[in-house]
Amino acid sequence: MAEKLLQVKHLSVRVEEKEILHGIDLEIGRGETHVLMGPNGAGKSTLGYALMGNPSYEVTDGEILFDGKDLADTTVADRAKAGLFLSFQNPLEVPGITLSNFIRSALEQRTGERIRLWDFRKELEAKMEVLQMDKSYAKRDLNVGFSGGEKKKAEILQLLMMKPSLTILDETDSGLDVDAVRTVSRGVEEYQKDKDGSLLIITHSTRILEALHVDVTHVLVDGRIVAEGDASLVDEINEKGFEQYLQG
Amino acid sequence: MKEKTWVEDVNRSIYDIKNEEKDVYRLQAGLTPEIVAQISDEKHDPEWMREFRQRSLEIYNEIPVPDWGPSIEGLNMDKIATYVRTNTNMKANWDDVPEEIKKTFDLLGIPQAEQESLAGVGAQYDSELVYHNVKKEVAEQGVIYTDMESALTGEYADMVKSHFMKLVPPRDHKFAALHGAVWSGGSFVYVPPGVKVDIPLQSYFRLNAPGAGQFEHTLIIVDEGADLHFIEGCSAPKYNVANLHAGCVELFVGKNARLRYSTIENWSKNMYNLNTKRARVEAGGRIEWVSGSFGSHVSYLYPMSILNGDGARAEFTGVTFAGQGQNLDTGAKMVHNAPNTSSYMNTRSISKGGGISTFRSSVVVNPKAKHSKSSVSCQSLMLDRISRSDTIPAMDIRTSDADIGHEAKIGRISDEAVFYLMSRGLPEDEARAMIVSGFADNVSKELPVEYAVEMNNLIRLEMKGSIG
Amino acid sequence: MDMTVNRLPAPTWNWLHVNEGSLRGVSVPARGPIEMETPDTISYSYYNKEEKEFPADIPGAVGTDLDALLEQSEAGFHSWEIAAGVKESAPVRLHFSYETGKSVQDRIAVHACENSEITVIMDFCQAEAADTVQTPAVAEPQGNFAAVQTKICAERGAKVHLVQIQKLPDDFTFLNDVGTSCAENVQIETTQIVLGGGETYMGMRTGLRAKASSLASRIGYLLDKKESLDMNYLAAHTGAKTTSRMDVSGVLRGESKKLFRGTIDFRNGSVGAKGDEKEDVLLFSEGVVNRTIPLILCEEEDVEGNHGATIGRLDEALLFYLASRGIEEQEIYEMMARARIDAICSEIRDEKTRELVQGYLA
Repeated sequence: MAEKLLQVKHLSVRVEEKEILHGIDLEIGRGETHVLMGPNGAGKSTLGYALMGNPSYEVTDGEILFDGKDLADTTVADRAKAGLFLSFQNPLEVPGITLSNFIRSALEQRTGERIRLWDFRKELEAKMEVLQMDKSYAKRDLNVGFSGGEKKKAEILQLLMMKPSLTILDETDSGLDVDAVRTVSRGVEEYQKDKDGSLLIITHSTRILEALHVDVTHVLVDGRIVAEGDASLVDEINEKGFEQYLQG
Repeated sequence: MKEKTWVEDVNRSIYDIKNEEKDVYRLQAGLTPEIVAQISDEKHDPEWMREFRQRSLEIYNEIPVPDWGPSIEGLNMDKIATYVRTNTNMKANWDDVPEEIKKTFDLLGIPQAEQESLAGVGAQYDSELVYHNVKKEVAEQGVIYTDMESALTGEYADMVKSHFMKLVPPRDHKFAALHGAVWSGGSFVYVPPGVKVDIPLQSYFRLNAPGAGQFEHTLIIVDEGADLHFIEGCSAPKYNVANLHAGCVELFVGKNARLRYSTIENWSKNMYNLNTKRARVEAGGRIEWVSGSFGSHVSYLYPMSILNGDGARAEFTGVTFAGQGQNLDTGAKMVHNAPNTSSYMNTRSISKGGGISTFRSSVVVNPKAKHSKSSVSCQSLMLDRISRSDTIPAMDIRTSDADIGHEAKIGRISDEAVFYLMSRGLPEDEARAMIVSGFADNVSKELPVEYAVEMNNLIRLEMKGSIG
Repeated sequence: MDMTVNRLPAPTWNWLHVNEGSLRGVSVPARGPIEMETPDTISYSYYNKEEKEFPADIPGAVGTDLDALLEQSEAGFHSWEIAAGVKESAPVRLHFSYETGKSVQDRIAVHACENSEITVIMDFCQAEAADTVQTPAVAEPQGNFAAVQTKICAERGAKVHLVQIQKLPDDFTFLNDVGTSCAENVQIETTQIVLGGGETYMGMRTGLRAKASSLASRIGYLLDKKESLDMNYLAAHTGAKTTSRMDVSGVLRGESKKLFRGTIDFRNGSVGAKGDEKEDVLLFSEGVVNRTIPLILCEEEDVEGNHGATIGRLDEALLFYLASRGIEEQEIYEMMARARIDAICSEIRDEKTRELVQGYLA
């Protein structure tokens, strides 16, 4: 077992001929919670997509090691099976597949075994309760007609059911009202408690962090990590913004 | 303040000037092998062309008229003198062009346009090119721009022979065969590898004689890595007898080359415009069609792009305005024959005063065309309830690895938009004309400014009903 | 006889081979077997040929050659009628099980009187092999051919829901024609699912002839091997404020072929009418042929017509999203193929029919 769960070494990423990330170094240990902050357009979501293996995001330099293994030649599905999870900023609507059926097939795909319906349903309902989701959502088509908040809850529900070892939350708190943020962060706490999972939280606000213990904060500006620190860095940025990093 | 351009004060009466037919040599109406042979004699055709014309005539007699488009019953082929020419040879100096013809082109603004914004101009009057000139700097780059007849026997004779009606074979349809038999006039353009022509070349076609046909052939070869913008303008005065235009445009776009072909067609409203345009694009090359159809009684016009090389791309941007007495069937055809090819169609149709506009298209993606992309967007505007607007697009997709999108919309001018403009002090007809011009801005945005102005003037004239 | 069917209402270039479909050497079909279940509130009759004429004033979309073929047959037609004001939630169930080696036809008339509500569910499948063994040898093989023609006359304020499920073997030729005439405020809802059939021709013409009548039509198909599906759908808007929706979605695998002709026709008088057509086709393999001709014909000013189509592979963003949950690409395609039918199936209110479809999919 590798010491660090995730090691990103000098990672450069290009999207449609344009390099967005220039030599990112980042390490996340087991059970740690990291925060990635930065102004709009800094490349935060790009890092999330590149880690998950989106084919539109081309790694031009550097490497990503997950649990000591190089992810270079692995597909998106391989990475998910290995224990990576990305909560999407804008989850897609999938007509014809219910939320419940979707989660079940994803779990079955991962283990290659059939899951007992009774156990599955019981667990799903329990997690939905944590997230204050109405049970009827399980039978609705995945994200179809969901409000912004419901979509984010559905992402966290998938997270809780799939129990990955590393979770990337991409702006999961954006566009949510105070109550919804609280519910979502309750879900995230549940995830940490359940599995001792690692977290990379991409955000530009701090509301979601209030109830969480942050180990490391990274600041990303123009595709480069410009500062790192502990939880206090979050407060500092909260106060002063990113201006001090933009001038350099 | 904006400089006044030469087309600003366009007036339909200009297009309707009729010149007395005098000193003209006119062949008897109807089409026989003898007439076709006479054309060959007149034009001193090389032997292969003599044969080509006769073969085309046979094909013409075999193929039935199309059974799917607007009616062409008003077109009696037996009554059409297929070949009419004035007793004038082609001139390279504008001053030498006969006064009457010159006056017409002067009024149409051709010489000014040449001075101001064009790299070269060809002007065809009825069946023959009467004027041809290319800017010195462009000629020095090795660009050839000449009339088809000279090209047939000149330095580029072999190149012409190996390309002539290879893209549009006479078998293609009845009027392609007719064209093969009686074609006359038109332009030949060759742009050598790597040469980028910065300013557009232009051809202007004018059909003056009543009951006649115009069958010009345009052959453009843009070699590897070269770049050209070619503009075609057409007009004819209105007579009470049917006129026929069955031209043919063949465009060869080489590897990584680019060709933009722009047309503002404003034939008079007794014209049967059965024109065939086609482009073949090699790897990495690009064809861009910009097309405005305003004139003609009946039009069949669907420029076709054949994407033969990896990564080739075609764009078609068009607007069609069918007013009273017009049945304009226009659109485009895209054929994907190679991987990574892409095609885009963006069209607007407007119907008014009982006019019929039909958008007709096809997108064919063959099994070889892996990872191809096509997107079609066509919008139609109905300006009253006595007009008609049809949308007939077809898609034939034969590879799973394709990304095909299509959207069509039909509707009317929103009362709210008219009200909004009126609340800012515009009279209603101006407001409506402005909205229609805005609707057609997909094309006007792509045209050189002089042409965009001319097009908007045409729209304004159509909207105000000052054109019959 | 030779037949030309499914003519495109406004023809286009012949080289595209989309203007019509053709069938050769079709023999005159005999009366087909239907197992039926009719709720008490709805009256059923069978009319022999000489007793009553099949409603000829409601055209379908397969075409007059089909009308002529069925007219030659000795068979009469089935008729269901629901009285004014009666709203029946239990469906009329019609189970068509076709034996191989036969040529059969059924004609069906549905009459919905003012403000009534009726659901008609038809399923087309192959008869159990055991049945065919007992059939005495036929003098000459007539092929596996079946035709069904349905004419719906809906009076003011009526609601009609037509459901058709097709699962036929791939050596079968099947013609399915529906013609509807809608009076004021009529709501027609149709759901058609095609899960198999060698050569299928489907046509549907909906005459939205009076004010505020509406059509909602959903079609789903899964085609494989050398199956071919040729469709001709027409919403004829003549009444003011009429609306039509056509949603077509399906999957092509193997060397299957599909041709969808969908026409929204705004005739004079259809002031304020709206027509919407949507098509979504997923192509699974290289040998498939997908053809689409979405027509909008318009001779009225104040109308709104839209058509949209997406054809080809799954959207990349969607693929990435689903793959990020650990699902392999091939599995995603399988899921999405099924999802397309599921999405249409879930709109069927009858549980038994939903189960039938789910059974076919499993």
